[in-house]
Amino acid sequence: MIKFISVTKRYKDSVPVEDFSMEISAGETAILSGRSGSGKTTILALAAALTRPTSGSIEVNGKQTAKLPEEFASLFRRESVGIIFQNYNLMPNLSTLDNVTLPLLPTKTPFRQQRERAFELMEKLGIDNKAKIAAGRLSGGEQQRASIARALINNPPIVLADEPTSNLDAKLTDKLLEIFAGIKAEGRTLLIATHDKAITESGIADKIIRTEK
Amino acid sequence: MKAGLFEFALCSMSGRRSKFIFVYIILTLLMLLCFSVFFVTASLRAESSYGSDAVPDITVTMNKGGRNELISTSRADDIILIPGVSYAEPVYFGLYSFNYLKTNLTIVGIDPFAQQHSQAFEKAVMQHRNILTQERWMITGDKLAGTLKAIYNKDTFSFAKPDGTYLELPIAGTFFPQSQLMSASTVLTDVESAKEILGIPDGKAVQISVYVGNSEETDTIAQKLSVMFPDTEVTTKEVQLAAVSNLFDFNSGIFLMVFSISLFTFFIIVFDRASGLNMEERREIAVLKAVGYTPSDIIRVRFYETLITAVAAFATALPLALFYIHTAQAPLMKSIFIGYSYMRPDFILPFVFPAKEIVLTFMATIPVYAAAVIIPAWRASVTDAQESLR
Repeated sequence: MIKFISVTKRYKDSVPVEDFSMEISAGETAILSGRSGSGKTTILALAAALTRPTSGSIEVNGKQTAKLPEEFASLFRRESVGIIFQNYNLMPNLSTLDNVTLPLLPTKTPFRQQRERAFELMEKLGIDNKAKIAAGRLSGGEQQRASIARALINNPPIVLADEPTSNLDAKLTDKLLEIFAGIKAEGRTLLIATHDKAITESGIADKIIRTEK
Repeated sequence: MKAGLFEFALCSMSGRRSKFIFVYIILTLLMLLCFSVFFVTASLRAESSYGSDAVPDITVTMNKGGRNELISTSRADDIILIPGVSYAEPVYFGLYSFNYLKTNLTIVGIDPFAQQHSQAFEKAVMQHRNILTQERWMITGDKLAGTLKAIYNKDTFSFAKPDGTYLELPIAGTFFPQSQLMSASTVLTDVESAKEILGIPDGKAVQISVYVGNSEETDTIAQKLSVMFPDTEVTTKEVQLAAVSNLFDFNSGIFLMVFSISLFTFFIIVFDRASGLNMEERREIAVLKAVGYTPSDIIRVRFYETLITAVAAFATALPLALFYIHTAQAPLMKSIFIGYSYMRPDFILPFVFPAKEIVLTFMATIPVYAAAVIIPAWRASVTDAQESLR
């Protein structure tokens, strides 16, 4: 479950989120819809405890995350959240496989199991043949899928996706919707920030949350 | 150690290899410089300590108007009467210009029947008892003996005396002092021959060496000698060794200046690094946080990167320094420390491994570098990740 109550996030020069509330139940797929600059990315970052709200309360998966210390916030993300970034945020010099296994390295998961899990996901997403290629040399669609594999490798109950189709063509968008349908079918909570009608009108969402102020 | 994080540190380093190669080169050069200095100073210290046993407790020389003059040998008879003095003897030594090798030989006149205060001289006399029956003889350091044999291929050597005539001395043997400086240039000979070669008239000597029974009385006896012979310069062993050490320190001071500049540069680089990370490094840390790395995981990764770089630099610098100092014989650096006037043929730095200094250098360099890497990484790891990702 993700629950925001009267959340405001203020930066020095802007207020991207102001008095925002929402509630997404466990296993639900929700779409954050709104024009560019309406605070969608900041809401995802708040949900992942990557940043702290200026005011208001946030509860994710039963945890109050608004004031979590950094160490605990990181552990919370490791256990509960997978993030698919708009610009992928892969390590360009590392191989695709190393990028995908990155979240497992600080855990106690045995090396062989890390590799098996990574290959399983990469195979599912059709990038297993790119395992040894540096992430910086992958195409946009391949980077997107590597980013999804990385978000899912820890088996998180919550997946957050920020403008996942912004760099994809129509064909790849359809493929991505299939992947999201799979994530949804696995019972994970999925929160997608997008203004792409292909997603909002695809019928994947249980709930559409408008972010316009 | 978390193997996964160590592996990631390695992968991350290979991805940013140009940056790490730069740091590795800087660290290697810095350590090479430190290690080389320590090797040279340790070697020279060892070399200079070999001769310290030959320095008498008190030395009495004649000084007029700042010039060293010969001293009357009769003063030794007066000195020996002072209570506490165990022995006083006139000493005959000096430099003989050996133009063929463009160097100076140190001529030392010794009485083989008297007690020798240098272990090396004592050994030389014991090894070559045949000199006891000869009127004229010379014993050379083993290196000098080899050089003379190679040049003249005979068992005698002719010294040019100050009056223009020559004195031919038979080479009775060689001696093997620990000090290579001594081995390469020292000639031991009988007192009469030494006086003739160096132009010392009868009744005169270069200095009077005084030995005292109780070392705690040295200063008191030195004061008495100064009062007894106001026209002389009285120097204790402690002062004499300090003077040698000061000369060495003067040379090392020049080096210290260059060394300080290098260190200063290193700290500027460190300060520059410690004051902040670039956008790319901030973004990388933010991504690591986003995928579940705790600040301590991030610090651990950076620590491994530092350790790998530092150990690699250490493992390169140490053998390089050993090669530079003991195989290549420290070109440039040796002359900075020992100066031109101390140059001797075939002078080889003795091998001494200053383990304490080496460990100290490693321990002093690494924390500074590690702090320069870890502190900004820690700062970035506890600040808002979203700001770096925006």
